[in-house]
Amino acid sequence: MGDAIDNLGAGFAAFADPAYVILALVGVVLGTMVGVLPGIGPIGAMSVLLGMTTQLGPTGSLILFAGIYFGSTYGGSTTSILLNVPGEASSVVTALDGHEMTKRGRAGPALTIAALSSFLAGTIAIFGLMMSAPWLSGMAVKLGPPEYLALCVAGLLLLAALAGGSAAKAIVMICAGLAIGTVGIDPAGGDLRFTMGSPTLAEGFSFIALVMGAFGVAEALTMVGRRWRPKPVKAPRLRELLPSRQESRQAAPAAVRGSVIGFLLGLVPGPAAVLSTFASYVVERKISRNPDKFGKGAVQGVSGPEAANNAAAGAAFVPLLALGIPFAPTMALVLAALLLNGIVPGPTFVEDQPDLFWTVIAAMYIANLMLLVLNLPLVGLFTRLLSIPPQTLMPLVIGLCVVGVYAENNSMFDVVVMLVAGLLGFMLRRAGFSMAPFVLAVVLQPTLEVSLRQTLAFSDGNPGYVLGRPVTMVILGLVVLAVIVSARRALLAGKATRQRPGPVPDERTPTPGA
Amino acid sequence: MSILPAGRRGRAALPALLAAVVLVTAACGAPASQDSYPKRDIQLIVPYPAGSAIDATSRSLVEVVNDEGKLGRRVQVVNREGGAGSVGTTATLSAKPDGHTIGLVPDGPLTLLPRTEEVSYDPAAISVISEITTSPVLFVVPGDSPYKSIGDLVAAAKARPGVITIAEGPLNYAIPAGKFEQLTGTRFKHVKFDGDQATVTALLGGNVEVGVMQLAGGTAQLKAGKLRALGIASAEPIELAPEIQTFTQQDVALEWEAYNVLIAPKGLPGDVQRKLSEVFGSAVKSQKFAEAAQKLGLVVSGADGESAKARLAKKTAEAANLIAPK
Repeated sequence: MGDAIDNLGAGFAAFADPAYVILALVGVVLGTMVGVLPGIGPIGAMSVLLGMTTQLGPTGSLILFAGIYFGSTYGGSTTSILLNVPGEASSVVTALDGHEMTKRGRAGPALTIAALSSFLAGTIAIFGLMMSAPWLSGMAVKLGPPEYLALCVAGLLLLAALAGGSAAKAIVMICAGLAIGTVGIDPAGGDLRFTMGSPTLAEGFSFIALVMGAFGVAEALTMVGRRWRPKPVKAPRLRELLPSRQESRQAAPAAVRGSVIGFLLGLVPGPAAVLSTFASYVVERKISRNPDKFGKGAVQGVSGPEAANNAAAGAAFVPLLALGIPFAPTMALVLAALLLNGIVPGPTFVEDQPDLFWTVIAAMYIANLMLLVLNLPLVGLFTRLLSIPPQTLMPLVIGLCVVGVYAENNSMFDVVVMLVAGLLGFMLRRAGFSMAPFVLAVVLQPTLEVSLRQTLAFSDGNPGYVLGRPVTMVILGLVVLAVIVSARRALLAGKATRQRPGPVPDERTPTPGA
Repeated sequence: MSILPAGRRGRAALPALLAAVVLVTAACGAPASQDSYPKRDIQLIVPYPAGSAIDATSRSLVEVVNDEGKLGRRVQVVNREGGAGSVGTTATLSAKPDGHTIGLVPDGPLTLLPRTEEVSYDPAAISVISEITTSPVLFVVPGDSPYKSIGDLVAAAKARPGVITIAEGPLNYAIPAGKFEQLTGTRFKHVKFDGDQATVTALLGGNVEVGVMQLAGGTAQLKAGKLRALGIASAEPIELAPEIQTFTQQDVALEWEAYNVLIAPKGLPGDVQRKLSEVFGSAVKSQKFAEAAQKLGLVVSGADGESAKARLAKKTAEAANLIAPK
């Protein structure tokens, strides 16, 4: 514990470098902006910036990305509350009671409660990350190929089963991602595969090009096609921001519960940020003494889910930093930024790169603090972003993507890959296919393949090797359980149309796990 | 998502544009002094991405060369990754042999890769300027392993053929592992790992019993005693880790090293080759480069072009005996 404080102190000391402070600021502002704007999310923002990460270095990129990630969870709630337009899938639930509060003239307190709950949850989650990542890394060293195989399978299947939408379509996208991932050099043996003799394909499809296409370009195309312009909003004045004493008393315990729920769910593979908001909402309604107030402006319905999505965002870094496995597409982008800088996160990461690890933790604290300070006074400014017509904003996004992807490798081929991925992504999205499973599958493919081949080599065809490993069996057991639960849920939903949160007008294709 | 990244991107694009203008101008060529080399900045192609070990090696070497300034022009590192090094090697060897394009490549694309993959260059048609560094292959076990020496390992493998697991990976590890089995009459269970870090993790976690890797991959863990090196496949014990016994000292005639060599297309003019070997030879022997190499866990070589070329040929021949042709 004393060690942790010393190390964290060193991490904060890194912020004596003004460049990092500026990066954190740029990150949180950008994150808030994309959070406010429906249609483009943190994945889009990160993928557009991915090309810059080699210039920023590993620490700079992580600071920037952490800022974007946390910023988007703050920004998403602003428009949910004021306009009933969730900027992110993870703030859909917030709209239910948050916008009700706005209708009742309590917009200011709702925003404050959302921001304070997010801040509280961010702090709790960072503390959890700080405590659990080194400890988990120590355990993770023991994990062998079968465990990694099970984790990858869990990550992909849980995303498919829990993300909402058609599981069959998600599985199709996973298969496509895995297939695309095999092109290029064989990660273990060094042979070239499916390159059709082309040296351009020898390194495989550029991940950056695929992500920028599937998210940046495809999202921009989707938005341009949708003539949508919300009316300008009157932001509450600073004086009207303070919640009443009673509101604070109700909000605080819900925020703490939400933080815990969010953090725990964030550790599990799958679209944790979105799920945690639903989970927290359900819990709050269950334990409330007057559940009828939910949906009519209950404070707990804002503070709980807002805390949950922020805590889940912090927790999502744990599996990435401790195991080197991203469970969410946003984390896949953080992983890509690290890999581009020659850093391979894994069980030895915290030990090998302590400076980087603790600087990142410090960056998260600072990003959270900046967000709290920035968000409330600037609410009016951020909401005004919504009046930029998408027909102006989105071509700009596409332009940025083209420049960004070209700058990465000076390769026109990558630009073509991106545009094709964007066009396909746009069409697939219209057909109800989500891009998140695709991107996660591309990222997990090398780990999945290598661990599968290693497992087969170790086992020599003897299933006892896998069956005799308790951790593997626990992970696979959880997957089976989750699949059963979600299948049951789907059946029930088919039988009776039950009351559930949503649908929200103009909800974009949700980006699970974002 | 609107204005900020545009500004940042714009700034990033400007140098790129300038560079493009400069390159185009350079390509058009100044007709000035025809005989003096170098006429313009020299591109040093590295077939692996920025941040890789060989990239770090190249950059610290180039920094010394540029600081010494003996060429009168600057050397620029260009990363051309892909295809297990074959993309950058192709780019190097298909350039004009005038000394303005050279490459710092690992030996794999020259000695091993042409055995298993179709490559678009002739690995024999090269000018070798100098050998920069070598990385002998090690056999490593976890610190708490019962095997203390190569002898222990051979005895155990003979008692339980095909059971002891050995982590290898690319050809530069798979071949010495196979050769070791040939030399000692043993058989292991081979599992492929993608790189030294993965192997180290598997060794630390007790998921594999023996690992084939380079010194650079496990220096910290070896020092801390979490890993133990059983043998190193160099001719002599190396200065970086003199305590590790060679295979030969333990009666197994296994020598296997990966090299990083400085190459150029075939047909380099004699004076250009001399100039390059002189400049890079002195940089390799500098104190500053020695420190960088030590940090990276690489053995500084500095062997001249002739002997480097001979070693490449020897390794190619050896590989031919050990890898089934494609």
